[in-house]
Amino acid sequence: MIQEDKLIERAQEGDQEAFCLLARSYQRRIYALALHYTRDPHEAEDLSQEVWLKAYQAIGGFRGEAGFYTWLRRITVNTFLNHQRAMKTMYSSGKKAFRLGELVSLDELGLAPAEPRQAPEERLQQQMMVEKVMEGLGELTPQQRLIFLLKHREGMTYDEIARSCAVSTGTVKKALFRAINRLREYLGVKLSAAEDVSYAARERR
Amino acid sequence: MHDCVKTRELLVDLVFDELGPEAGRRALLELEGCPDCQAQYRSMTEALRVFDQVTDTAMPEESYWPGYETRLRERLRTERPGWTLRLADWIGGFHPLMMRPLVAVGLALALLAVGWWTWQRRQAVGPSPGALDVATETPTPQPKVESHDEVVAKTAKPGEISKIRTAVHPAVHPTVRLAAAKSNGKAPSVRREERVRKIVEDVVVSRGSDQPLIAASLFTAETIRHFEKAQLMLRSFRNTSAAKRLAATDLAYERQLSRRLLYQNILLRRDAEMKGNLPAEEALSSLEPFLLDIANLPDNPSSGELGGIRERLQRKELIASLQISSAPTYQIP
Repeated sequence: MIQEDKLIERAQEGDQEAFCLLARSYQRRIYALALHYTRDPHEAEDLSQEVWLKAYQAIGGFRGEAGFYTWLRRITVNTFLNHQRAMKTMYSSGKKAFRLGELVSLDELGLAPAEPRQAPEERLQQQMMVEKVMEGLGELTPQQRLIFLLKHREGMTYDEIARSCAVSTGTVKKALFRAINRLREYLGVKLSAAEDVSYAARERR
Repeated sequence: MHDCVKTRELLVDLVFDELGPEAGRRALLELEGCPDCQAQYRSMTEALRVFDQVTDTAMPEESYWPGYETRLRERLRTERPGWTLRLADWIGGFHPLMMRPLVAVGLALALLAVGWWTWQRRQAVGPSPGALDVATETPTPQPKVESHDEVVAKTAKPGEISKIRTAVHPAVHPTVRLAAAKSNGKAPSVRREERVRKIVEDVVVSRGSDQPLIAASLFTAETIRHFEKAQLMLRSFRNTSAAKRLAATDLAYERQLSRRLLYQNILLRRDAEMKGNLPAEEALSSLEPFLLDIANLPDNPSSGELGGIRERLQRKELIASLQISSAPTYQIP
């Protein structure tokens, strides 16, 4: 396996193949972020590929002071924030629902749930849970969503997130609190007895 | 003594592992003593666990990725490479990193040339005649002026001082110019930009964080204008309602203006909410209850009603924060 720094070096010299190999290592992670951020598989693909295009254009400036993924994540956050600004005009209805119809189209894209041997009811149940999660995320503003994803999925610190999103740490905490409450609400996690989560999928197991 | 409010404030930090090991252990111990807080904590961690479980299933299966890579390759092929790569190609194989020192040296030389040219130009032209007006706008003490005045007083006899002062043209040197202004009964002053910078610096120091400048830059011009209007209205309300003899018509203007501002506030808040602009959303949300209360005041409000609003205004320091929010954004070097 070729080392990452060799691939970076070759990509900096304009080797597209090396860049694609580099992208392969992180594409799932970037795509997952984009999917939860946009809540739409088509948009997630567009946005994640935009990240890669920007990274390709900027790789000449990568000096290796931070890790490659840290650098890439900075590009990702900036791309997401730009996307958020660009969506301002189109964001007229405020909240975008992740509908079951769209989930059906996941199959066409090869986005079906990971276990092909599942019974149709189970798959439907799982799809409904995904829908609930996406609706819960949809209740948040794009910035809150991004903050939540950067914290929970990426494990960034409050300070790192605050710097990346140009907000205060107080805003970060507030966004996280709101995010977790929305998720709790949409996933039906009860306050009084968290152990009795009404999560249908759990009962199945 | 267990304090549920304080403990719950720590829950987010605890859930996202932002407390240190010691503080985390203390917080967990604290939770053990309170079933409500513990339930709150468990429900939070449970929500995250379920979220992870569910979102993993939303990820595409393996067969999706070859197609993704092909599409990415196609996009990369059609995309033009970054300017550094293109420049490197054009120069003939120079590595972009090798180019950096050359570019830096070039830029440094260009900056030096511009600096030298500006300095030469200043020497030849001298200060502009309009500068005096700007400089004498606001009185603030200047140590340099004092020393020059003292020098004048020491070197000349008492009768000659006025002659020296009138003989010196104010535009010759800024120090002399300021001294002349002082001798005319006007205290010396600093430029407006410096004053504004000082205000912004004070704001940053008083707030003690990097938020104000960033937040101010996030407000649109419309929101800033709205804050200015609201600030004036609230000041007017505060002063009028504090008057001893309050006539019913006294607050009619504030009530009417408050209704208009309330409508505008709701629109701006929704807009900020949709754009995900949290600082603006928060600032507008904190203003809204006051606008609503003032707009809904009866024709003949009791002193208790007015006092309540005034007291909240004071407690929340809303007028001051509106002033900060509507202050211009400056970068402090």
